Amino acid sequence: MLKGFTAANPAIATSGTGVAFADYWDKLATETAGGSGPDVFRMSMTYFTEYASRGALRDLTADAASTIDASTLDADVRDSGLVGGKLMGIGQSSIAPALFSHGGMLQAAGASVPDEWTWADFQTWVTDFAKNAGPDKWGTTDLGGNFQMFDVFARQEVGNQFDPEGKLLLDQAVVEAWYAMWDGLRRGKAAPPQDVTAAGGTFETNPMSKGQAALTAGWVQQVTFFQPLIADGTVAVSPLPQKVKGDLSGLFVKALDFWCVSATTKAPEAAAALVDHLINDSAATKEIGLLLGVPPTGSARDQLSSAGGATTAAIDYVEKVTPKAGKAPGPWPKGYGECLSAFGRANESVGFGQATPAQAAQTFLSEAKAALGA
Amino acid sequence: MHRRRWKAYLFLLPWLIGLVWFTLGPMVWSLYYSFTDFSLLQAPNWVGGDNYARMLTDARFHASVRVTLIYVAVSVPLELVASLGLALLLNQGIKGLAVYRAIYYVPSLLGGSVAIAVLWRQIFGPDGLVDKGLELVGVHVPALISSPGTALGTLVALRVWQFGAPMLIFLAALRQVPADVLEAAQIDGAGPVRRFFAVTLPLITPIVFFNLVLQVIGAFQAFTPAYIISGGSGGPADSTLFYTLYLYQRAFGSFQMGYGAAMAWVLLIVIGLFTLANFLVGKYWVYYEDGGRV
Repeated sequence: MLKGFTAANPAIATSGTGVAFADYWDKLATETAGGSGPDVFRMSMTYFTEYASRGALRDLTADAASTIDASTLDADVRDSGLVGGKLMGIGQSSIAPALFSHGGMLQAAGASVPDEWTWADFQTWVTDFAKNAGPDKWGTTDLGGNFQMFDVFARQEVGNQFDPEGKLLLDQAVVEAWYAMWDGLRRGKAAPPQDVTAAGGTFETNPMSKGQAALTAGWVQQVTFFQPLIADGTVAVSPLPQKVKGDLSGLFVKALDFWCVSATTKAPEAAAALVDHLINDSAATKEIGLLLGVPPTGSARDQLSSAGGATTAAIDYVEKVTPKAGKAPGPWPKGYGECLSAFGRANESVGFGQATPAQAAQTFLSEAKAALGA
Repeated sequence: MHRRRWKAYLFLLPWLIGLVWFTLGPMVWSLYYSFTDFSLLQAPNWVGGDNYARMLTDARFHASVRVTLIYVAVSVPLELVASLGLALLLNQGIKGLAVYRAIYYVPSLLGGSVAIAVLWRQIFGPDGLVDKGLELVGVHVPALISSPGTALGTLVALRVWQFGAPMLIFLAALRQVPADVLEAAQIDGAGPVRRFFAVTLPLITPIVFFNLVLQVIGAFQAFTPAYIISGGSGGPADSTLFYTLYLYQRAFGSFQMGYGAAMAWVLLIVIGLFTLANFLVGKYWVYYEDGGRV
């Protein structure tokens, strides 16, 4: 990736560091605090506001007027990089929530997944599927603890999860309804029991990868992670269920990953040039592929869409969904990372029979409010 | 005289620099940070005792204290009994003692490592060795590592399995028990059990005490196994949320270095108190042959 950049800009010396994903955030935080962090780094939506609001990122508004050509980005993705009106990051990916289905299992059951269906249809579908498939096979993985897929459900009930100031807009009723739905699916053996879900958590251990569940959900580019794990069938991508059949306004397309420049960089121009290279150069597009999401520019998508298979499926989905999706939510607020884990824990407490959906919703809301208020 | 002292400090300097720079200095800083809202990314602001007050109402903090206390209270006695039991067995003058000693010591070298934690996850996980083994005898257990009722138990088992280090120390202590005293007891008609409880055990109480203090301190500080086995979450349902793991989540996961620092200081004080309590209670059960006291 950097080689291509250096080849095009021989005057700028670059060096890269890599780190296991699990250690990335610890390392970035400590290095940033110590002032020895990288000039350009990948930032996730989860921590974007955290870093931006604490003055760790360089405001790229001026660079975008000169060095970085951000006009090529999809509008929603470009705007995702704005924090308080300042451009703090350049979106690297267009992502959208998506439902994945295991082609082999569907075929064996003679089932198909509709594009347009309600959450009630979805519950019937997964329950019937599990009944026909027999013991230890489920219609879907447990998405009850997935705050990001819950977003699609919640947006159709209460609009966004957060207001522009980062205050929580969720109420008890919508969170409780979600937990109760998944509690019902687990009890009805349509979704795996909690200990199976607790033992999963990676792409490899996801029950769909193991041929035990027909459906799962995630960010659309993850289809390229699931597909290699599933030998007996194509992984298909389709929209998540809806509140009103065919109304896809719960879905959204936005940036998940950003290229950011350190506020203390000594080489702002070179850093900006590198960011421009990463989003606009075809060599970089080829290197990065769908690793961080579907590319946020039309030309990069055109370049990759001929790859076929899961890559094409992901790109097609984003292009198909974009016109029908709702307005993308703003940047995730400070404390979002904690909301993610609190949401999963609360769902787990229902799954293990330690709390009712109502109690779990209450626990989540109070933990989330505390995390967001800090 | 004065000059000689000066020279002594000169020779101590490398160590003193290390102590001040790498231990005392950071400790003083962390004490300061514990009274601030330090986020790692921004300069700290003084918040007084807020971080300490927050522990009183933080439900997950309480959960982590409960998990850690259970872990210490269950794993330390089990580990001591296991290590003493094996030391007694190995002290029977068996052939190839050195080999057994080495074999039993190996887990202590590996037990705290990431690799073993990963392996443990495999053994107790779904479709793991334990699950498959029990299936052979027709028993189906839920995944031990991913059920809140049993996950902590697997971590206790992991700690007990690392009995090698205290075992070696016990073994050395058993060698020190004078043979003539044991012989005298035997002549007086004491059986092996009576000899153990009336002679051997009282004579090795200083070593039991030593191992106890060491293991309690170690158990309070356990981090790696819970971190690896739960993927850093302390799950399922916070059942393996060790104190140190929660501290780490707060400090590095949610950028609350100030709170993390305060938690670290509370842990230090609690470990200090437990150790002090051990020494106080030790007076009543630890016996030194030379009449010394704990």
